[in-house]
Amino acid sequence: MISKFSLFVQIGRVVMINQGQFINKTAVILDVLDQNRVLVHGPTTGVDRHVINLKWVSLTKIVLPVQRGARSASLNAAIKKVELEKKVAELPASKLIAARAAKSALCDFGRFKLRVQKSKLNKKVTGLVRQKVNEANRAAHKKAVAQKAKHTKKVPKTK
Amino acid sequence: MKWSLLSKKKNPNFSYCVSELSYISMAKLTNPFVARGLRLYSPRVFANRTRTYLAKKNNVKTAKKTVAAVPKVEKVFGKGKRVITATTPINAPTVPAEVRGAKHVVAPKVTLRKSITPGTVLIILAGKFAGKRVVFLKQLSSGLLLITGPFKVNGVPLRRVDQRYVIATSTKVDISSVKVADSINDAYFAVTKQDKSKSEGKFFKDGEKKTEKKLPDTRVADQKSVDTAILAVLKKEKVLSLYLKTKFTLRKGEYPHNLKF
Repeated sequence: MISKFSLFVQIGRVVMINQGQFINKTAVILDVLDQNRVLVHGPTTGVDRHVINLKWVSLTKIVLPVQRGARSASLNAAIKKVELEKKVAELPASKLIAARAAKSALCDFGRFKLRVQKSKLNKKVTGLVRQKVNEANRAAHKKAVAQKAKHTKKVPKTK
Repeated sequence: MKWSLLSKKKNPNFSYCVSELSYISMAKLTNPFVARGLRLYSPRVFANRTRTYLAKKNNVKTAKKTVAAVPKVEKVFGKGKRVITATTPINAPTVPAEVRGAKHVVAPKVTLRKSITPGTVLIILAGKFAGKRVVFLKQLSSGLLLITGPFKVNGVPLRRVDQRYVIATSTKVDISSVKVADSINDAYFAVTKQDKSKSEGKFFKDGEKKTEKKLPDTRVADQKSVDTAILAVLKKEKVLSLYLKTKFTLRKGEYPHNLKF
């Protein structure tokens, strides 16, 4: 049977923490305690080595080659080897977090300018969509007219 | 001190408590012991009560206490006279009067919030123009803020507002080229009361035309002179004038305590 899952809770899996003290930070799974809980550690991101509920984390596609219950030193070495920080920055989740942070850092004028830009873009998009729809409608109309003409031609004229 | 201690039945040390209470009620400038090693007031509070800090600040020098000879007074008792020593009043202050009477001088000046400087865009929070974004010009001597819309942009005229009713944004309009006349002060905005008694007599008269309220020409002229200078600055940045034109509102998921202005 082919599994429909592609990400697994496994030793070395990098997770994004979504709740609690270490929110928006990444850590590495070092041990799986049971179905719900894992041991995580993020020495470079400031996440203490602790047990966390899996409901509090989301899995990323990155997996580090570490052993179960790896010590800080070997974990650090593994992180350095794969340049984890770069990889994490490219994750869509971290991009979302960065975008959110940038948005909340905006001042009142910044928010206003964003709104103006957004409405401009939306107007452009709706204009393009309308253009396409109109074109399609016109084509359909043309086709219908042509078909009608064809149909009327077939009928012989009665004298 | 618990008031329950004052009941005679409950507390065997009743008399002691009463004596202690009398200290408080008399408001003598003493700092009595509540328990061994514990004074009623902290040194800070006691200094505040006695105002000794003022004496220090104002450099009040009191004359050294000289032990005056107790005056003798001749008093009439019935038929005879007797010489007795004069009694001193019970509530004699222990701190010299000149220290206690020293006035606490406070500067009446209203300090402007740090975030508000000339040119700052403010959001008005209350009143007729609530939600409007306006430009701050200067602080008047009463502490109120002089603002303008500008009038041509959002309809807010030259006006005074209290800084309490305003959110200061981090956006600034460069108003270094704008000159606000000194004549625009608190008196400038004072409302002149119209004489009502005159119009009352004419109230029922037919054919009386209502005189329209009209602003004095000086106001219109001042508004124009201030606004033209600001509008010239705004012309360079179109988004900014659009920003001033738009009212501030909270949108979905926006909470004022989370927002940065």
